[in-house]
Parts: sequence; C-alpha cells; structure tokens
Amino acid sequence: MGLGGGALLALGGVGLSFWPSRLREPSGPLLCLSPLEFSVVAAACEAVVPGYDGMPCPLELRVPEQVDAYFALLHEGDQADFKSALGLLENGFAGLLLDGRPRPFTVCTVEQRQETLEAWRGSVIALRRTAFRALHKAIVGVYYAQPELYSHMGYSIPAGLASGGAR
Amino acid sequence: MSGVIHHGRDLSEDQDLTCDVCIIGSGAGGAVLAAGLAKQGLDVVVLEEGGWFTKKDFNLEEASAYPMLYQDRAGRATADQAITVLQGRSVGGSTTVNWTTCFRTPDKVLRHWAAEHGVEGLNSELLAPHFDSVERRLNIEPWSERIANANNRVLYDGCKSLGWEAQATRRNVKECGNTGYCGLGCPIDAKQAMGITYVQDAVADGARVFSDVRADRVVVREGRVEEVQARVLNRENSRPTGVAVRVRAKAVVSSAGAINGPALLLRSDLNANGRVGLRTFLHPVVALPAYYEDPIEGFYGAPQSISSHEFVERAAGQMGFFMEAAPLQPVLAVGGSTLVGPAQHEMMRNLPYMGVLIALGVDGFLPGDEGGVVSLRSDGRVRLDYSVSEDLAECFRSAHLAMARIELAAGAKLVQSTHNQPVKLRKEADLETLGLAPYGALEHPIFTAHQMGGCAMGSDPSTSVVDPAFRHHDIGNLFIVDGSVLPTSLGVNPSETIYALASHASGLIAKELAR
Repeated sequence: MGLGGGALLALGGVGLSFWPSRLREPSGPLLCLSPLEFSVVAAACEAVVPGYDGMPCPLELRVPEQVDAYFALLHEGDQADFKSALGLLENGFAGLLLDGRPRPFTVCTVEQRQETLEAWRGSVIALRRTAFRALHKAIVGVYYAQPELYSHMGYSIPAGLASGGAR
Repeated sequence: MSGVIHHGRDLSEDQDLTCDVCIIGSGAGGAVLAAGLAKQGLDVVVLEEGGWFTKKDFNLEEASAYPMLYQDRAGRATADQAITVLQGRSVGGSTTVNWTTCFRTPDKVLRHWAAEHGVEGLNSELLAPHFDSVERRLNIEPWSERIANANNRVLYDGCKSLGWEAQATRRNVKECGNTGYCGLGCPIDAKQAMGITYVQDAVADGARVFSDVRADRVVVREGRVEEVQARVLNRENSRPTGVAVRVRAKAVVSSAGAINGPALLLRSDLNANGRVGLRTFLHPVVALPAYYEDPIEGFYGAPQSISSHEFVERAAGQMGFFMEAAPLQPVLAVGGSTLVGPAQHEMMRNLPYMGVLIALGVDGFLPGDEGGVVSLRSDGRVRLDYSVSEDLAECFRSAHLAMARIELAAGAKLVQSTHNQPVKLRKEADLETLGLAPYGALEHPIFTAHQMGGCAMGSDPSTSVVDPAFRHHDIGNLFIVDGSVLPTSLGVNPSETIYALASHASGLIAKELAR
C-alpha cells in the first residue's frame, strides 16, 4: 500500500488528541484490527455507505467485521499498511494541523466524516489519497456484495444459474 | 496414462518429484504448454498456487468469487493504490475469470517487436498454425452484435452513429448462455477456459497438476535449474501448511504471469542483467459510466462482445487506445467509483440504468514509455509501480472524450465521469468541461486486466530476459512462457496471443529436450 510512512505520525498523534476516541463494539472477536481500528472502520462505513432510502446500514450487515476478516487473510505487511492508514485517519492532532478538525474521526458526525474522507480523496498529500483509496475499496467492496442489497439496486442473480444449476 | 489434479489439502507429506518439465502456473501460457508437452510424451508437473475449482464452486456471488478466484483476494493494486489489478488465481489462471475476448496478435505489433526488440522470426506466418490450433480447441468464433447486451450495444450503436469502427469480437465459448458471469467463473462451462480444456488435455496425457502449491524459488547451480522449491498453501487463508514440494526437472518453465513470474525470478536471485520486472505493461483502463432512460442491466449478457479500435493509431507521439465494455455486477461497478455518502448511494441505486464503456491504453510503444516495474518489498511482498505519464494522461483524456461522444450518440441522458469530483455531461457541448478535468494517478480510478511484460523477449541479453525461443539468456534449462515475455502491450486483449505463443513454445521446448 505504501502507507508505512504514516505509522509514526499516527501513533504519535493519537495521544495528543484532546478528545477520546469513540469505540464501537464488534459482534465477535476481532481477527486483525484492534478495537480502535475497528471503530475507525465502522465510522468510515457509516460515512461512505450510510444506508439511505431503506438500504441496510453497514453496521447491521456487519461490514466492519467483514473488513476485519478480509484483512486478516492478507499479508502481514498489507495489514500493517492498512492499520497505519486507520491510525492517520483517527488522528485528531494531524486532523487539527491539516484539516482544522481537532476531533478524532470516530467522534465526528457522519457529515463531518464524509467531508474528511472527501478531503483525503483529493488531498495534496499522496499518502492520504492512497489511504482513502484503500479504505474506500474495502468498504464498498464488502458492502455492495451483500445479497441483502441486491433488491435495492435492481439486481439479482438469475434463479437456478449458480453452481452449474442451469444445466 | 492419465494424470491427476491434486488439491493442496490432500498433500499431508512433503513431496519430492521428478519429471521432464516442471511448469509453474496453469493459466493461458502454462496450460497450453503443459498439454502440448504431455501430448509429445513428456512427463509434466504443473504447480499452481490457486485452487482447482469447477462450475459447482461458482455460486456467482461476488463476495465469494473474488477472494476465491483473484490474486490477493481481488485486492491487488499498484503500490500507490492508483491502479486496481484484476488478475486470476486458480487452475486455469486468469482464463477462469476473463471476459472471453479473443484476438490474434496484430501483425504490426509482431513487426514492431522484430524491428525494435530483436524478436526475430516470430511473425504471423509462423504463428498462424498455432492460432488455428487454439481457435479450434477453444471454439474461438465470432459473436454477433445482434445478441450483444445493451451495454455493448451502446458501443456499437454509438460508434456507428459517429462513423467510427466497431465490430463484434470473437469469444472462446461453446453454447454460451449469455449469462454475464464470465468474471465470476462460468456456471455452465460454456467458457472454454483452461481448466476445462488444455488442463484436462494435459492430464489425459499424464500431466500431474498440483493446485494450492506456490513455487517459492528456483534453485540454480552452474547455469542450470537444479530444483524448484514450493510450498503447499491452505486454500482458506493462503498460508503455507508446512508441507513442502520439491521438483527436479530436465527443464523448468515459469508461466506464472506478468507479475508473479518476475517476482519468482527476483526471489530466486535471477536478475543478473537487472531487466527482470522492467517494462511491465498494463493496458491501463479508464471507465466512463453513463445513464439511460431504459434499463441497460449491464450485469447480464456476454460482458464483452463489441470492441472499437478506431483510436489505436493516433497522431505521432500520442498513445493509442481501444474501447470495449465491462460487466456491471455491483462490486465491479462500484470499483469504478470513489464517491462517498449520497453520491455513492445515487450511483448504485441506478445500477440497472448504468452502462460503462472502458478504454485501454496501448502502452509500451512510444519512445521512452517503459511502463511499470515489478519488484519485491523487504518483507517479500511483490510490489508493482506504474507511473501515469503525461502521454498516458493525455490518452485517458482523449479516451474519455471519445467514450462520452459514443454514449451521448447512443442516447445517454447523463454521462458522469469517474473523477474524484465527477464531471456530468448531458450534451456534446458539455465535452469541454470533461476535457478540462484532471487526469492521472488517484484523480480517478484506473484498472488493468491485462498484465504483460516484465521478462521481455529479445535477442539482446543486455535488454531482455528470454530469447525468441523462450529460453532464459543465462540459464540453459529455464524457459518463460506467459504474458511476461511480451516486449510491449498488444493493443488487443492478450489471451489468444499467449495461447498461441505457448503452443509454439511447446514444440521448441520438446525439441530442445529431445536433443
């Protein structure tokens, strides 16, 4: 991912934040992420795909847990890169310096989180753009794969086709 | 004598194997090569890091198909995350999940390789019988624009309306059900992928295929490969099970593809001339979604059946591109987006009305275009770097403008670019806005489904890795037969080129072993 360089800043900055992070409770044991990292993913899920117009909320579908499971199966180096990105995102100190956002990501409102993520998407700092892309791909890739969403998107897998059923 | 396909889970003890030829990889190159060599009576062992799956395993759910059938659980990307790399990983390699589009290698490309890269003798006449052979075996035949799905019809109708070239592609299918799920593993075995064709041919002639087995390195002593060292992987998590596989062969062939192949050589410290991993080409892809009054349902129907090569040849100094369509199952569709919140929701809510055209940059031909680089990180992970040059950015811009014109000509009510700040067009007059949008890495999603190069073929050992007979310049019994040997990209989908090259290579390698 090329995100390793952000690890130091992430670690250093969290301790300097004026607000404590908001921790979310996973539905089961975490496989890869720490409780704080899981909470950042959960907060990002709510911002990227809040579940409008009756679409299920990503937390109901346990999308953060599935993102955790996805990264648990990747190389340890990929896991470390992703964790660094989450640390940077949560970092209130860096947010204050670069975005004027003193609060940790997890305690921001959904709208503030959306603004933060959009700022990262177009940031002049390449590391942030890369981190955004990794986080966004993981979240939308898990969320929109959920069969519970198919009908909301006008999509369905033709009956009888899966697993060679048509022949 | 019939061979066998082993599952990694059935291998509980270390394996010490001997054979005539050990082939690493079972995709478009490895499978055709294995079948050709086995047919000539050679004892063949194939090592494949992916699993062995059949249509019964293909449930058409993206949540399970991508982790099962794609490299890095479908998370492969360039180091900066700017380019998503779609690359297969199973017995059959990318042919298990490709979209079946087949082209012979353009004669102009072969002539360019001869003139600029010293690839002598590899011409259309030499390859013709090999193309004929693979086309028969894989049932590669023209599709028809009359049964193209609505997404592909946009490309055909729009191009015709503008007076641009577009034609139905040829596809390697038999009794295709037009399901649209080529990218998730064909559920009805209509796609003539390697797993149900050449791999089966090889096994029928005695080849032993070991799935879930990753080749870690080739051990070279005194200028020859002495042994291939591999490990059995747990299919669930891709971690080594602790069971080792060692293969001693008269000849070893890397058919591991244009990213993992160079990585294997680098892990094996086989990069004396420093060329391994260089000149990696991707046919970098930009997509352009559009929305229509009537449903497109781009998730159904043959995903890719029309192509336009109107802009492959452009003005001097400009990178060419060709245009096709892409399937639109939800996760693949959203992969072309960086939207957040309401905008993301709006896009996916309108999925049935969305069509997407793609343009593929023809990289590797302009002076100074060296493409990307495959290398190894300090922790052993493979790394792919690919800079979006000014030439490629200009290509993307021109491609977006061309695709927007096609979509509008075909009746799109809204064209919406994939930029971080999407540009919206409703009429031709809006094209100027699109032309002013930024193009480059992380300005908009970029993809690749065609990985080529990295172990380039050529006659000069100082600028290439293998000679025109697929033999490594320095190691007498090491060959490379896959897309990594291509000195440039192709300007057409690469699978049939790799099939034909492998068919050609099987004769050369068998002859070499008979000496």
